Amino acid sequence: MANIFPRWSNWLPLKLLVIAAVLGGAATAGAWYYFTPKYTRVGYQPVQPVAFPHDVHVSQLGMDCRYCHSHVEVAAHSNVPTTQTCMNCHIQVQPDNPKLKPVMDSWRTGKPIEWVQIHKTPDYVYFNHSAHVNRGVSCVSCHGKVNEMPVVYHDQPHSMAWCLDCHREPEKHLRPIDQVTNLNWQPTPAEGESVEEAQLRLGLQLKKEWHVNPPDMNCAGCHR
Amino acid sequence: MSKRVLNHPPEAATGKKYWRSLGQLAETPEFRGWLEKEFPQGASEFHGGELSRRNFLQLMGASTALAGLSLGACRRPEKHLVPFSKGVEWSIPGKALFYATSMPTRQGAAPLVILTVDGRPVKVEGNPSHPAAEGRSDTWSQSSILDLYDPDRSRFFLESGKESDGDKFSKGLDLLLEKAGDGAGLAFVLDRTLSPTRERLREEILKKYPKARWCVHEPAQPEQARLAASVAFGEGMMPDLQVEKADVILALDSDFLSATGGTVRTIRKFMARRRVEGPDSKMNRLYVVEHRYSTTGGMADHRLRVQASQIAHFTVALAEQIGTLTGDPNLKPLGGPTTKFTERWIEEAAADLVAAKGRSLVIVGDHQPVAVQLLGYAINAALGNIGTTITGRRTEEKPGLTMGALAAAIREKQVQALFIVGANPMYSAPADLDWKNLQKSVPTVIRLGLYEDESSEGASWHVPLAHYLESWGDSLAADGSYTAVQPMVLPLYGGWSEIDFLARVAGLPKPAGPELVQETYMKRVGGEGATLTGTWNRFLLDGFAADTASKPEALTFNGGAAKDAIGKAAKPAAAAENTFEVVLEPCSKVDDGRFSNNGWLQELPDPISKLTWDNAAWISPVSAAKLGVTDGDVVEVSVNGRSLTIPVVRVPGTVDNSLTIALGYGRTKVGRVGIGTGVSAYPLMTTENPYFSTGASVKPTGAKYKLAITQEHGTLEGRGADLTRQANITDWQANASNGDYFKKMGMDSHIPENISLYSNPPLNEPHQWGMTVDLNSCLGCSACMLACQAENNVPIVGKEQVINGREMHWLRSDRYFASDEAGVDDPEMIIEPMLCQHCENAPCETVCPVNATVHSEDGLNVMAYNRCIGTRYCANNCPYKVRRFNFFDYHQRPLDKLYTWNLINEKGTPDTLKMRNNPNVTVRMRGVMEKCTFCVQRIQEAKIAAKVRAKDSANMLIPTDAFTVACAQACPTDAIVFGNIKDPDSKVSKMRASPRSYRLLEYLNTQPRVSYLARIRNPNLKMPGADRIGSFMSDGHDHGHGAKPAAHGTPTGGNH
Amino acid sequence: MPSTESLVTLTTPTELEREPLVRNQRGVRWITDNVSAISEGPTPFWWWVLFLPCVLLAAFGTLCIGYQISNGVGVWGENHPNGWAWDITNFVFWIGIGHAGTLISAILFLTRQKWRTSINRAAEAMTLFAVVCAGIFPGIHVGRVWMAWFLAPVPNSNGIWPNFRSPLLWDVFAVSTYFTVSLLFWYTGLVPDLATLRDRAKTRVSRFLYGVFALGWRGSNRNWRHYEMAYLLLAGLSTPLVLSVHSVVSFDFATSVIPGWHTTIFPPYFVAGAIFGGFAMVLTILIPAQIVYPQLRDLITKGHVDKMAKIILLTGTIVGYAYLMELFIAYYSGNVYEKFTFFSARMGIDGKGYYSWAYYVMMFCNVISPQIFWFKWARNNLLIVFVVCQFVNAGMWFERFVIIVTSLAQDFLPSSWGHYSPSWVEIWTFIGTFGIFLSLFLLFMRFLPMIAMSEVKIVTPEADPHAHSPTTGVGVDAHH
Repeated sequence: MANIFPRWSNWLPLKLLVIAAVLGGAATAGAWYYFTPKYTRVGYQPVQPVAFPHDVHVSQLGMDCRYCHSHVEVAAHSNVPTTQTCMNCHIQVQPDNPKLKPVMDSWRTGKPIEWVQIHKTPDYVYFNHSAHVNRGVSCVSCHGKVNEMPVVYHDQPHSMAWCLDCHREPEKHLRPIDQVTNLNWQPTPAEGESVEEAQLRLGLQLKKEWHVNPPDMNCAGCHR
Repeated sequence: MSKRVLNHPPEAATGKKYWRSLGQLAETPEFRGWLEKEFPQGASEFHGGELSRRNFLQLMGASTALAGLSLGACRRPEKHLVPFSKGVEWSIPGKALFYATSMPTRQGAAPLVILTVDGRPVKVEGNPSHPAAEGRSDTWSQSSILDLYDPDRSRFFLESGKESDGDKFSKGLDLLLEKAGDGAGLAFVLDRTLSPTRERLREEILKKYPKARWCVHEPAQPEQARLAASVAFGEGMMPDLQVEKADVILALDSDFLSATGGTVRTIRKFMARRRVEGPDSKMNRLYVVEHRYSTTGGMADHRLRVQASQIAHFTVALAEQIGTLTGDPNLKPLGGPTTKFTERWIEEAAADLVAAKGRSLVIVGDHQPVAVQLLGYAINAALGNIGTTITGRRTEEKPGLTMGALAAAIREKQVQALFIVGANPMYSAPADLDWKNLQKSVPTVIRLGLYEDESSEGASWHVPLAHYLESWGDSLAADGSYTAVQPMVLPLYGGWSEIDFLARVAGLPKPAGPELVQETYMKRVGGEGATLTGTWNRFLLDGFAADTASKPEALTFNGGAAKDAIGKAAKPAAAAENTFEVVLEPCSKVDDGRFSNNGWLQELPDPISKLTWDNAAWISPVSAAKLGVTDGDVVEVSVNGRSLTIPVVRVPGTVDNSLTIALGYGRTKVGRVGIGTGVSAYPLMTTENPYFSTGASVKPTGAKYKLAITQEHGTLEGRGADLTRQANITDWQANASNGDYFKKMGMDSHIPENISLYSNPPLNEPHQWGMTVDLNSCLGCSACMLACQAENNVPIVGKEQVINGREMHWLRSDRYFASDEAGVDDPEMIIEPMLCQHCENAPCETVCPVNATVHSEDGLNVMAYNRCIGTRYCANNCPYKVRRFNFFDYHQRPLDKLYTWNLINEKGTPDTLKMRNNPNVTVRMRGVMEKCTFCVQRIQEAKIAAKVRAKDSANMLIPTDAFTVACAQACPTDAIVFGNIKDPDSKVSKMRASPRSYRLLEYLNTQPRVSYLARIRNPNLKMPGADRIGSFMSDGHDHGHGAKPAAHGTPTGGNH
Repeated sequence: MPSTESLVTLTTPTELEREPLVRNQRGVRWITDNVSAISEGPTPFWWWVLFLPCVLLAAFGTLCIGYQISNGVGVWGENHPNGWAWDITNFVFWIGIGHAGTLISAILFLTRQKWRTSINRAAEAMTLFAVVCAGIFPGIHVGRVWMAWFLAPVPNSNGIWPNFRSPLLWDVFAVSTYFTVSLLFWYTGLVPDLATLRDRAKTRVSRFLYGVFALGWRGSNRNWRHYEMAYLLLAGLSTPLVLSVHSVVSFDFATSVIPGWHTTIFPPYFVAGAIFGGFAMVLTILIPAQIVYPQLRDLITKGHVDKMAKIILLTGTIVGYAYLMELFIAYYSGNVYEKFTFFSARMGIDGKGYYSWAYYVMMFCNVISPQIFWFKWARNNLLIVFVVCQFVNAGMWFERFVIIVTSLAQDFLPSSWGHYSPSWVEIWTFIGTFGIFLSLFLLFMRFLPMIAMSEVKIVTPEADPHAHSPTTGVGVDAHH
């Protein structure tokens, strides 16, 4: 009886096995990555209606975050400034700069500026700014060095696991309350100590003194 | 609805925008445009930026089928943050603001505080600083928030049915009023509100049109009470019951412990005397004589079933008895009762009342005839209660025409223009007036209404009425204090408020809300030379003017007049064996029909019958058996030539040969929710005997009707000793030394030591949340259920799904009947609120395969909706069956579209309803489990506030009882108490320490965080059958269980 | 050799006449021809008559599932308190059926029960298809199917793992393992027969397909050695599974607190029940097969049926014992809730049981009806056996229904009691799974050797070194 299969087909099973393994691995990796929020937003940098340069306002002019985001210490939501807030200065400063046209229009017509939202938690997540900034967690921990961004982009993953990293080890991020809005602040290392070690030392100390115990096992901490 | 209130959909056509910018909200063309559409495009959810949690997850679902990549696009919709252009006073985005106001009801103002978030009113609470509310509220005020957003509310001015607008109407009104002359042709029909401003405007109108007719139509508010009072105590004087002063109370067909028959104030006064700390506490004693179980009857220590129509005879019998004991001239001779009653019952009750002379109180139901009420006052006088437990209060209410008189005037063609302001006579006028044709015969009918309903039909003009949360006004609270009504939002649908309307009719120069109220305010409170600055703002801040409560006045009982009146009164017929009496009473949910379109109220089970979405004729099981009918069988009721077909529902504790029918159903023209619910009982209501009529014949029609009853099974199956513990105060006193008297009953009297297989994480947080439910003070009013529904975005599922057993209430109130064999027809009743017990050793947690329900370190059994995949295993394994599963997408789909294939069927929930949702609570999608969370959103807010306060200190403790959960906050009787059980000073810790406290199914070792406090009854041991009262439950001998109620259920006994 | 001859005659005692495993002295060649003929011959008309309706049912069932997933579990009849009903009932029912196969293959193989050879192939196939059907229900009964991947312990950016304390998770592992091992076991057994078919194949296509799946089997000594080893190992692997799967399934109930579920007797009782139901289903399929393919009667003999009937009798009686023991424990516990569940809700002695009728259906089908198998005439009458098997199939479904629904419908708080009744969607979904099951089995009958030829050959008289007449095999072949 003639051979049904040519010689090469002897290796077929092995080849198939290898391919299957690769595909399986890819599928798992894909699910792991895509079916979870981690990949979604990092690097997201939409065009804003007004080209507002954070670097100029913060780093050059030395404005504090809370001048514009005025409710961040009292509310869950960190507000974007009203047109009024912009006009406090720009009524005098560069009033006829074409870049400011949308602001001026809004001021004239009363129609709000529609800023594009960058940082977005899902609706089932109840993040509260005031709970963090009042307990020594800096803006920079979640938003990156906005003070150096000409155009703001999404810096951190903002995925649940990422939140938990800090909720389980807050010491990595705690700093003195008065340094919370100082995005350039760094702990001063002791003799022969790296910055990380210094942060850890300080963090642990603050955690102890302030009884910092963010919800880590308690779903209701963030999900209501 | 997304919790992100600042989301801004690119296409401005959706209504979402306007509650953010309150200015001009009703006028914007976009909003009008949206109104026309009414239903937003389901698709817009995707492109419209507003990516709510549900379609977020649906996308996740869809995407599992698609390649992961396509997900990216959906996952990152362009969303906008839209700040105000100019900052708004007080407003901090996402932070809640509280405003004081009050809900005008036919019994006066219900003082409230409204929680608003970003300009959206979302939750109603009682006003804590108001003496008449003390922070408590009732079902109607809790549910009123839903009416505000009701998409079915009237939105347009209608000129004889065709759409028009306010200006056209004003012109039309002017033309009409020019011709009005002395107003002889004008007539007004209004609801009852105790609004001084409205009274002022009434005077203004009558000044301008002296001959105008003014008629208050309140089908559920009997005139008899006022008439009787004016005879007994003189015109303009009303009795004010000092319930808290009474040791012995006898209620004759009076449901004074309910929203329909009483007020939060009365209830609280009563409960003040019902609390028991220990066996030696003094508690009042309540005798109730009634024709069916009411929440008042449920509280009774002794209850006697007597037909409403026989209360007259009973009162006479009682009066004679008391007459003999006191020798009071006014009480004898009265010709004697024509019906025989349980003499011993009357004798002992009378003796008890007399023994408590001056500390007793006899309350006669408002809808009893004047003579009976007068007799009641006579008895109280004889008992020396006038001036002690009954004081007087001046009423400013000036009676208007009766509907009868107005009808006559219309019949004689004396009325050219009829103004119907709020009231709905087309639906609720007494049948014998034949109002339908009368109203049609009036040339001009102008209707101001919240809905385009029966009375708007054929009206020359229909004017949309603004909801009380949208209007200025004022009212008098139950204690007579002057209370504010202020708007939370501009009228969503551009309605006019009542006073604006009347001011317009009165032709006042400045017909705008605040000024009208301010004028009244200055007159009443301000006094001479007062200015608005200061006090007025204070008034709005507090929601009422301090110490304006009416002063108690001395009462002089006019015995003579009363006696004549009683003598003249026609003797009602004696009870006949073969015929029925028919009793009509306001519904505990939709009242006289005004709340008919409120889905929360429609789905709220009646406290006693547990019936939802319909009314039915209550009938005693015995009578039902005689007729050969059962629940849902339709019968034909004929009385005095009028008849009605209605399904019956058997309710134990109802007196035989008596049908009780709730008013307010069978509306013919109302919104989507109210239409097709129940049967209207108004066809049986006549002017001469509005509330009950005798000699009715009842015939089964053989037809069947599906009733949606939330509790299939009403008896305890011998489990009372475990589930609903109670005892007579005397029994308790006998066992006073035994601290475990209530802890060791039933299974718990003989359980071995509990050992758990599972180790749970430590509960090491400084706050440990717990709750106690006091069965002794729970009436079953169900305010807690609605408070919970409003606070936690609990969906309405509709009649069909209730029939399928899928109601979603996180907090339900279980109603059990129990008796020994002899008393099967007249069982005792107990109501037990049931909610998630937050077990420290929770059966639901171990079985969830995905860790969606876990325990928090502060002792909560938390539920992560976004983790839940909906295996329903947790619900199966819950011994208390308090977990609720979203079988359908109730928040997204209209209830009549649940079964139409979702893939081809677009979502259709009106945006206004989404706006009602509490933004601090996730709106659950279909397929996830939910349950009571102990209002975790409130807990978190409190904790975060504490952290913010703590800053760089370590003190993050929440102050003792700084906040509470929605149900506890609403509860008028403080039966529900919530707090930190680790804090020895907290109220809940004290309650848990009570010897009455026990936990359900202790033997399962679930370690619940909710404890119940056993019910204590205070029977008069001389009364017939007193020894057995309260023993059935704890014995669990109920229907079908024959064992005699001996010392069972005590530590020595147990029930096995 | 005369010496051996005499030796044999000396040493062989007179043995009892025992029913041969292969009747009519059939020989190796005959078996090959007749079994292969089933898959080689043209598709018989009756096959289409059976197959098409089954496919239609399967399709409609799938449609129902689509509707349920799109609208929500609400289209079923489940409610509060009955969070589970037909869905899990059907799941346990199918999983139970899926037991006989592995039992026959593995345990009977290890215990060297030669009679298994002619039925194990079909039984294993049945197992696989039953597990396929079973797998559907836990999949679709959840409220958010698209989130079911939360059950898999894969690392994810939520940083959450499944709850390893939950019996449902154990189910996931138990059932998937069981399916995988059963599949391997079945396929391994198939290889030599596939090779046979390959070698006999006429058309190029069939030769190619059988060729692919025969994995280049040559029948060499080496092949056989590896084959035997693999088969033995798999048998060893799957033996514990037979016990573990249904024990784990029973934990879904046993570990809960609900009276009627919270019972330590469940694991053995479930396993016995599963074998009980499984054998009933094997017979349900083999008896008709025997009728349409008369030649099988020489391989699947009365003896086989008789043995299986005995096993049904045994397991049925064990189940009956479990039922009674449950009642005794409930009585002995003195626990009002336990007592109510068993005496009121199930037995309905005080007329309070919502579903007492189901309890008695179960009792009759599972405990009473198999008792007839005490009698040989009943065991030897195919019709009676078939009828009883139908009772058992129904009875085992009702057992699960009774356990799940009667316990949930009336538990601790009378206030939360509630009736349950299935919706048309549920009913048709269940019927649909029968469609799937039968379609698959018909395909199997049509295209694969229904009898493990290579194994049966071992038990032919021909293969017996002590064959009384060394010529019989030849003689038989001479028939052709």
